[in-house]
Amino acid sequence: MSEPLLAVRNLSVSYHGPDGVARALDDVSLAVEREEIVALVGESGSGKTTLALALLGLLPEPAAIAPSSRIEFAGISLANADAATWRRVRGREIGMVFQDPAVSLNPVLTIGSQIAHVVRTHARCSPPTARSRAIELLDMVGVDAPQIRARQYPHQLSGGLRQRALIAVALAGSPKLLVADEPTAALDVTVQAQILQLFADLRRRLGMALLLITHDLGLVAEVAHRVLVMYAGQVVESASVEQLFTRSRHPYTRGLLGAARALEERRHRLAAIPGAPPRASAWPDACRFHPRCALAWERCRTEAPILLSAAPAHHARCWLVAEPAREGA
Amino acid sequence: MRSGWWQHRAARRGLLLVAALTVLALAAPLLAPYDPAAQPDVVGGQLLPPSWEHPLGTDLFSRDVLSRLLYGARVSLSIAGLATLVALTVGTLVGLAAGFGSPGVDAVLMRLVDAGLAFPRMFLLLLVLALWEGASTAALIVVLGLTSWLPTSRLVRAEVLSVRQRDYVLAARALGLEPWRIVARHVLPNVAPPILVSAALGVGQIVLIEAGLSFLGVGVPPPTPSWGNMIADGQHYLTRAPWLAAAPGAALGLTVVSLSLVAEAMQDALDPRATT
Amino acid sequence: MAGFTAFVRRLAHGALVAFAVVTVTFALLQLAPGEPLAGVAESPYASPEVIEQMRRNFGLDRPIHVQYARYVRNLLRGDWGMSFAQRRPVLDALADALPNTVVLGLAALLVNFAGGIALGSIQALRPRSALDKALSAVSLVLYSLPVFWLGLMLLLVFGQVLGWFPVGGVVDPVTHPSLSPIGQALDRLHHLALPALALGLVGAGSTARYQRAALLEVLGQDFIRTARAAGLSERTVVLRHALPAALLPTITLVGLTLPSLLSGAVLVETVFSWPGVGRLTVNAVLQRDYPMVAGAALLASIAVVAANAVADLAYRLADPRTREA
Repeated sequence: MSEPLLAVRNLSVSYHGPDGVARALDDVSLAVEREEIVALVGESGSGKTTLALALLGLLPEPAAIAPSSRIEFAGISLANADAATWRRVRGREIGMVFQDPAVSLNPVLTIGSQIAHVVRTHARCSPPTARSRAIELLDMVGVDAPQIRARQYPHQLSGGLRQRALIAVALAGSPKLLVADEPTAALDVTVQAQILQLFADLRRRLGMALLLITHDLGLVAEVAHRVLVMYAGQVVESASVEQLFTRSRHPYTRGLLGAARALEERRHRLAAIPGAPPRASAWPDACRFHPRCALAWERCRTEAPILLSAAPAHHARCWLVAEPAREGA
Repeated sequence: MRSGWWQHRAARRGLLLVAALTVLALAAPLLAPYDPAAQPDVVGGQLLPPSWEHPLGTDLFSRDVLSRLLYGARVSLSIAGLATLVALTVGTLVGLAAGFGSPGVDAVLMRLVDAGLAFPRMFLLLLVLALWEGASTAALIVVLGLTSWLPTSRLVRAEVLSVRQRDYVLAARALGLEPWRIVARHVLPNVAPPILVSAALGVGQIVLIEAGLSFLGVGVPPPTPSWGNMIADGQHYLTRAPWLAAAPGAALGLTVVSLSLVAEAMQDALDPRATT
Repeated sequence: MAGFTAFVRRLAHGALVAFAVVTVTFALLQLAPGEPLAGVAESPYASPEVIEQMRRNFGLDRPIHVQYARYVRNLLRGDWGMSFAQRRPVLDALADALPNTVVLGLAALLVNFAGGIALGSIQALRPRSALDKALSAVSLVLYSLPVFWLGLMLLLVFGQVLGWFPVGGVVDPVTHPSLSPIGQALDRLHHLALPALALGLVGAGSTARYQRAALLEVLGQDFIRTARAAGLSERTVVLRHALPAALLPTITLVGLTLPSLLSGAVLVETVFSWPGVGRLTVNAVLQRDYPMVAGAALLASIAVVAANAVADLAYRLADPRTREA
């Protein structure tokens, strides 16, 4: 089995603030193969955005990556890498699409020039060539009348078009991996579906891998191959899409699925998971989900579970995997 | 709030400097080694370089520069201080009138303020001082004050407008409290901090303006020493006796710097969210 | 085009302000103590013809609102009164002096903004570093110095001691006529350097402060993160993404610095014997040439109003968000 395109091992990130140290990510590991679509699911505060930022070296000042962390991309080591390495990797190997295109695009530059800047950074070409490449990219991401749009400013575009423009910016360097952080959160439902279709198309056409970060399970079911579920800074379940949706092994995942299904079937009472995730500075030395888990027992309260293998390529961080008898029905 | 203030190093220095300057200015008669008007040896003692007897040298009329500098501090600082008081008073009154008055009154007053701000200060001052020639120092103070109240009026008006809408004010009015009570209890405490900051900066600005006017010959008339007219005296002897012009200018710069530091520190202490 | 109506509105507002300025000037002239022409008659420069002209201009025998109407009408007709000292129309003298002040003002604006933007930007790139603190101190000192004193010191060091620059005037009175066109242009620049530096440096201090804050804020915005994530070099991010966005608010600063620029010009022109409106005004004050002083004050404020309208228009054009809507 060849090395995956992206391999993250034991990534731990903490924020050092005036009130103490808060750990955002705790010993997270994941892998993305070439041309694979991996989804990263979790609620806000679970650490998924921190993970995305760490992959591009864009963590803000007070954040620190633990020295034992490993991030390997196509043989390049990225944890605590230097500026020269990042210059090679950002945009060219890994691209990132941020949420909220309204503030992620420069308001005083045309979208064409913003894309062209990126093109010229990664490929030595003349400004006119870069401009036509920008128009090509806009066309590829499904922007209508790309020549006209390229001369327009972000405020003149609708939300969906802005998001497409952002994707074009991220693709301008022809990266092998695209990280998308909640790419559809700021858009309405019809546009969401279109953007998803776009991702699937792009992956096929460009042979690109995609790390999709979202809290929306519906999206995951549509496009992803594999899913990782995050909770309170840790990966709590990792499985293929099929395994996750039919045979999930972690109570939190099941709760999420239940809530999603309830929404779909429009049941009167959402099967919401009572309680809230623990604060990052107060993670207990036990299962972090146990206060909200209906199946928790003594072991959950005293021993922090590790990732246990429930099936080939299916892991869950829950003692139930070790003691399946306790589950009952 | 007090403790945050003292932690600011620059504020401490600024405040100390301002305090030192005030003390020096007030105690000038005690500290000055010579009478600033004395001309002991008119011919032989002219334009002497700094020495033990005259730490900052002497000027064209054999007067001791250091003594003149200290007395000049008195003159310049008191003029600026009093003018600022005038400006604050007028500005607050106008701001209150605009804020509490009808929209018509407000509009008229604010148009006047806009017009005033468009007038470059120096030209306005020269025009007024030219028309009222032979101005006494009191008149100078009044004129300086009357040309500096505009920013204060805007601040006060803004504060009044924002306070007017607040619940406790509406309640007070419903209870029948007279407007001036509302002003005293609610508006003034809120508007005092930014006014103080504006005042600290204002004193600095007025010191510079008075120096400019005195330099041109329309401010404080000689022989009374003002830092501005001392620089005017010294401008003809820049190469022979540079200290004549350099010392008062440095004193001016130092004063304004320390006032700015104090103002900045007050700003930080009162609004910790402001980015430095 | 909606931008046009906004511009017209701005002009109308400016006209109103100019009108208010005229009114205030008139009021001041009326409120001056004593019989207005008594001081004039005593002035050594007032001749009978001039006094008679003033009587006619001010219409002193008429009620005040008629006088006001005449005043405004005269102003609009181009009759700004007669200068005692120069024995010619005020407007002529002002017209001669105005170009010199405009040149000085523009040069000083250039020094102010080029210097201030550069200084502030450097500070924003390394916030809270030793360099940042040092440059902040420099800005503060610059901002606190009297502009005429700075001029004198520059004159002393670079003019008298080092002899690198002339100590006054617009051109060299002796050699200028015989210089080639390029030589003449250089001569003018040579004379412009010190006064423009003095006038501009003081303002540069506060511009730097403003620019530092503006750039720091822009650098924290999300679209800068997008640019970095796309692999743009830090240099490109700063120069071609951050600075353009940060320069917009700084343009508004131009309008705000104009009044102090003109006030400073009065002092700098005096120090460097620069034949502009400022020096004209100072001389007029010392010579009791009231029409000249009033005329200069009026011109200065109208200039500020006009320049503000232009600056506002420039901002609207520069910001793509306001360009069309």
